[in-house]
Amino acid sequence: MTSAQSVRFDLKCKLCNTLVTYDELSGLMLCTGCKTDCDVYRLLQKYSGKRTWIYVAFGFKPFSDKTKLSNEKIAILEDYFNQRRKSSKSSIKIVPYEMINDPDSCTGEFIMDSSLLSLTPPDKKGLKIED
Amino acid sequence: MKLKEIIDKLSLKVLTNLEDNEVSGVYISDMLSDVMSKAQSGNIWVTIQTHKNIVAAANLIDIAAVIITHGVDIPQETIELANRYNVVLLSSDDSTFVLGGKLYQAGIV
Repeated sequence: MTSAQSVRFDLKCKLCNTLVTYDELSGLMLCTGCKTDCDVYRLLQKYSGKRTWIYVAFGFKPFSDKTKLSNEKIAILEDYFNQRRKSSKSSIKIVPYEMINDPDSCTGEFIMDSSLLSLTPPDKKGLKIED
Repeated sequence: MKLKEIIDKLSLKVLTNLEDNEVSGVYISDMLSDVMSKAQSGNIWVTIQTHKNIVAAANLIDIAAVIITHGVDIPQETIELANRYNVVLLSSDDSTFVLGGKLYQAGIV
């Protein structure tokens, strides 16, 4: 038995105290290029030479305009993570989930806390049990 | 300090392609949400998590390398994904506690 929980947060500017809430965001997913006919895949191909990696900002189902994350909030999120990549020669780009042609069959890598409440014995997970 | 120097000092096993990144500190956590919010670019991330979503988190923050402790077996799919995204995966037989001490002794804080 395993468990998983996605990562949710808000952002607050340290300089002006402006709070940007991300109630509409259910989590971020790294595009792994699983479907060649997907618009996100095409973007990944376009940017991969520049070492820009594509992340998808997911909302909640049922997907609708009411629950849609605005482009402005996505841009703020992208800026936030790129600012933290100070030592990097690469960057990230965040796109809305609407770009995914078929979200239900997408096999990108969702960032989530997994197996923290797992009941699987340690030896089954690769952890070694000392004698 | 450069990553290669740390690998040599601590006899770490290199599981992926190696980029000799500059290391600016260490962050120890098994929660990806915690790493996303508090780890810094250039940190070494120490964890026992081996699922391939560690690659997504490490790449997002631009982690210098991920060290997986306790000699845990790492799935091949995690290694392959890490290579695709230039995320360096290392392995240690030490516990997280012991490895943390060794990293501190090596002067990485």
